[in-house]
Amino acid sequence: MLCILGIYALTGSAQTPQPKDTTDAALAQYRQMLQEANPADLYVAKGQALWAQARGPKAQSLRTCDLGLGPGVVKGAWVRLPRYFSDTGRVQDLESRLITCMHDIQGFDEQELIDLDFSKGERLTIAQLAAYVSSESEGMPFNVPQTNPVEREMYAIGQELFYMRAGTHDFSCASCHTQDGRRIRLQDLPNLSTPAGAGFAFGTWPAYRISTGSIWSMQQRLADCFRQQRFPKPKFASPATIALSVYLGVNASGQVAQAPGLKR
Amino acid sequence: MFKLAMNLLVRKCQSSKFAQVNTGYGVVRAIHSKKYLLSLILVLAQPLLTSCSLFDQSVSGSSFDSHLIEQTHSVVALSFEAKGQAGLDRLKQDRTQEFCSTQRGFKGSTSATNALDPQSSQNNSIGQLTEQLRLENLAMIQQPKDGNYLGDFKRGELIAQDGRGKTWTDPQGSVNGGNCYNCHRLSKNEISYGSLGPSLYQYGKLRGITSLDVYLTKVKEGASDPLIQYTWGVLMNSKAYDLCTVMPRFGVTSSASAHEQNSPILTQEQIKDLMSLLLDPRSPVND
Amino acid sequence: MSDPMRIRLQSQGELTTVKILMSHEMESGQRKDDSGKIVPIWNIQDVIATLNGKVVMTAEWGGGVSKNPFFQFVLKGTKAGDKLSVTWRDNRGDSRTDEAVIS
Repeated sequence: MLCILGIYALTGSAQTPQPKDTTDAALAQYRQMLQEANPADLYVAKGQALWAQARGPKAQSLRTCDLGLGPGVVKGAWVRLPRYFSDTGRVQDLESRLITCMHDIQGFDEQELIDLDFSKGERLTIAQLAAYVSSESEGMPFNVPQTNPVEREMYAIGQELFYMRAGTHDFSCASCHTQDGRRIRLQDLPNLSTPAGAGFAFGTWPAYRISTGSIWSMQQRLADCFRQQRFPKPKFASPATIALSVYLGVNASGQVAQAPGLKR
Repeated sequence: MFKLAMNLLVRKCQSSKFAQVNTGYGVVRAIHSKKYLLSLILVLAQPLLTSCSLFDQSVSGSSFDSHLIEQTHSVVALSFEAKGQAGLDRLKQDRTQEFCSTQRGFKGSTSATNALDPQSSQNNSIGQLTEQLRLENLAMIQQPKDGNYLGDFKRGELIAQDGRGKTWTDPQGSVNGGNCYNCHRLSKNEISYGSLGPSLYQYGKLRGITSLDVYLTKVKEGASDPLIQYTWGVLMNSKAYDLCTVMPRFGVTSSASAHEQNSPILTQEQIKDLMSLLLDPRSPVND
Repeated sequence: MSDPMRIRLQSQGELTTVKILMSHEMESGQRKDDSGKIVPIWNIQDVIATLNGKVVMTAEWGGGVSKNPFFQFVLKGTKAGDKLSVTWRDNRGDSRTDEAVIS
């Protein structure tokens, strides 16, 4: 029953960090209570099991996967992504890095993973792994690196893409996400060009979406944004999506990670 | 002409460096056409920081780093694929989109009355370019063939509530909605409204349409009535009044795509229904 | 083989708040799939909790409980070391039991 009530509460306003009045404060308190009931925890548990399980053509676990802090180090890795990886020679976000590990260590086909639909088969695996990895950075501040020139380049490209207007509706990310205190219908819009807004958005995905009853990673969230912008579809873990994550992650510097989150 | 104007405002980075990257990308793409991952290594492996500031914020909160813009477009080109009715041609920007993409922060005006105020055009090259593009958008607006600007406000409310259309999950050629409630408050009964745009509640009433007689007179005057002209204009092409507004252009299209050239988001009939929603004193917007 | 429940216990004196997150699709029987066919009912019908083997809570669920249900109740007269066991049974005859110890 609480889950049903949750739907009604979360289709109300105020998903931004600062409660504006008593109604918002009450909603924030209710949402805090619901955090203990986040079904994303079920996917974290699944992801944790999948990480340790011998899988794929090579029948290996992901325990030697390097997410940036060394092979097998999961704790704290998520708040330092996306970052440059010397073995692949490029900047990678979490999903992209999971593909690399699933291919290199477990023998899965990279292109097959990219071509799949969200929430299906091994793509669901990736979302569950993402839920697990992100939960291991819960409570830590974002510290997405900009020490490598390619990382800085990706930030600049991400920023350009953030402001790029295109498509039938002339929308860019900035069209909806560069103001404080605005909303679409009753859904509050975080200002992604600011630390607080970027921290809230980047720090609460992966998230369990009550309306779809599924776990969504940031890649899926970005893809659905582009769909609503009337753009064509971004390829999974493509450079453009990684560049946007760099832009968001760097903007979120110092903000506390809360993933996996709970969304309407 | 636009490119020339853009060049006047651009701080050009060392073009030779970009040529290197461009060629490298072009060669690799031919060999590994499916592997955008490998292409990206060569696009980004070159250090490009010598004479270009990557955080270029040149003129009044704008960014005109043409090198970075080209690089971004290269990355975008290999990162997206066509799906449903959303083809890759949608990523080809027209001049308005190109220009407004350079504006940093939120530059879309939240007041539609920013319209034809001559003060809003800054007395500099950016201001002149803004005005030039705005007038180009104004020229795109067509008047209704039958001279009739109004329709049915009940249908208008349905159009305002409907957010479907033009996404890759919508069927090609289906009837689209205006999605007005996403951003605007309209009728008092609808509490699920957005705040990206100004409230349109009592739009007609606040602009002098206080009785049915006044309304019917305006209906008769049609093209010669300034409020009718302005409201029609904003609905047809919002950029004709505020160049970088985030409000979509509902009645015109400058899409590069052939099959989308003559299919704007809303038909003229739909826009007439929205006109009535906003202006008719019997509409729920004007209670 | 269904997924484990996540059971969290918060004790204060002889009161323990039991918070359970269950993994279950909970199809209401009202939803239609992509081809327009009704997705058949598949939901948890009974939940039983025992403390050290003795039944302390039973629940009969009708329709309307959401996917991945969260279920919370308070037990009186608990002490450290007590073993709580929770079982759910669904309309397909599947069941799942998970345990937790009060600390």
